[in-house]
Amino acid sequence: MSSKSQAAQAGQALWAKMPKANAELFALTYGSLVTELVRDYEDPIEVNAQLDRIGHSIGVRCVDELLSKADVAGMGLATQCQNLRDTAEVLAKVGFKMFLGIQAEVGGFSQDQRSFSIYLQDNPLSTFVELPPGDETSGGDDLRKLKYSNMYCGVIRGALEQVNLKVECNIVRDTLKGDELNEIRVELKEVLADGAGDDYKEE
Amino acid sequence: MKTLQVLSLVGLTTYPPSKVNGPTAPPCRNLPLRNLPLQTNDPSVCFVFSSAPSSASPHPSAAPSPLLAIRLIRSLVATRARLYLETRQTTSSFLCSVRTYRNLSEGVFMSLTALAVVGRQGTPLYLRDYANDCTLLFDLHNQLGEDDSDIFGDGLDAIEGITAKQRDEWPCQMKYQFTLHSSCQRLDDVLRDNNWKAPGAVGTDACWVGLLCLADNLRAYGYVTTNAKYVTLVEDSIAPENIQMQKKRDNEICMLMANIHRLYTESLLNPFAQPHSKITSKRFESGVLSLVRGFNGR
Repeated sequence: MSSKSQAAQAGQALWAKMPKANAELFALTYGSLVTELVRDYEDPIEVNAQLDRIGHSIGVRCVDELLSKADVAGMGLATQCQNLRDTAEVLAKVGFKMFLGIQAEVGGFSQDQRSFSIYLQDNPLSTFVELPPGDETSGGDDLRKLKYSNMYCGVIRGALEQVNLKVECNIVRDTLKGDELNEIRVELKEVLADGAGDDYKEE
Repeated sequence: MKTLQVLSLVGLTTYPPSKVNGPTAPPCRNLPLRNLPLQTNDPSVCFVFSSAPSSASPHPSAAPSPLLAIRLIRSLVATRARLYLETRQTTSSFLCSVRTYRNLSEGVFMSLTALAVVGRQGTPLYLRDYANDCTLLFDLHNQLGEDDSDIFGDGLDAIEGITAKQRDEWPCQMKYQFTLHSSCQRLDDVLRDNNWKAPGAVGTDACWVGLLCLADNLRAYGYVTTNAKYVTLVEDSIAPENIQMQKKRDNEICMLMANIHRLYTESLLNPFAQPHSKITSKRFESGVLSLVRGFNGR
């Protein structure tokens, strides 16, 4: 489909123009962030929530950057996303490519077209990471419940919220836990109405 | 070889090992060195050298030294046979039995039997033996039986509990742990002298310490980096005169240690790893195991 290849090409072009960072530095910074959170909160569920929150604030800013640069890559207002499928394509092919340089695939569309999956073959955040085996002191399977790359979910949630799509994301498959690829499931909850809210309604 | 022709090899005899300790030894025959039975079908061939000077000897004081004789045999036989050398020295003779194995290949065998990774302050980080993954030529320790809790054979009961605990903590057999620890001690001595490396060496040459010590049939090699020291025990069958093979073997072990160091640094990049603690990374273990298997199975 033309929108698919268009998105992929735009992603390539934008990635070429973005300033790059050292992948090891990036992975190590994220790793120290996660371990610091684990040390502070100790409960992996709480750490997941914190990572989601951090990702949310990143996503809110990322989407602005993507939309501003999209004009340059020929994906401006003229080619707005008509449905969730297009949104998913742009998210995976342009968004992930532009910021992380990785190839992300979209798939797993549900019957009602309200949810989809993003597949990541290699995850730059989790290079060199191995989850420690279950600890006896913390009652077994402690860090098994940790979703190491949960920041992605927050980023997607924050970004789509700025374009009036309220979604819920979670990681269903994780290479750190032994699966062969990473899968993020995105579900559309509602399409928010435009506007500044009731307080600002004109008389 | 020239010196040995001057000295006299007084007695040389061959008989099966079961009769070795018998009081009535068969008479000695003088065999010229050229006719040593190298291609024998017997599973074992024993050579007995008597160092007592005989009247036929032109130089009574110049008895053949046992070490020279061993080296002679090794160099003559090493290219075509696996050697099992056992020497027992009595007052007037020493006994050296050579077993030749039937299935021979090119005759150069190297097996890495154990590895130790030690932190700079001497804290052990990783002790592992690979006796199951290599074919040992001289399995001397198996002569003591399966139970390895009593490696010195002095039957002290108190050791049992301690060795069991140590064995649980480190996946390495006690006999190798003992050798590894003593080699680490020797490595510390070498490093303290501080003149073990050539000035101006860079890269892996600057880290390569080389042969530390010999322990029975094993040779200990050391490799030092800024955050860890590596000691490996290798067993090989290269003759001492074969300098080229020795150099080649040294280079290979050096490369292997460099790869292990690379794996260790990668395991340190795991954010969940504690910096100076035991290495628990599965990736490190499987990586090192495949490296060792590749080294052994050549």
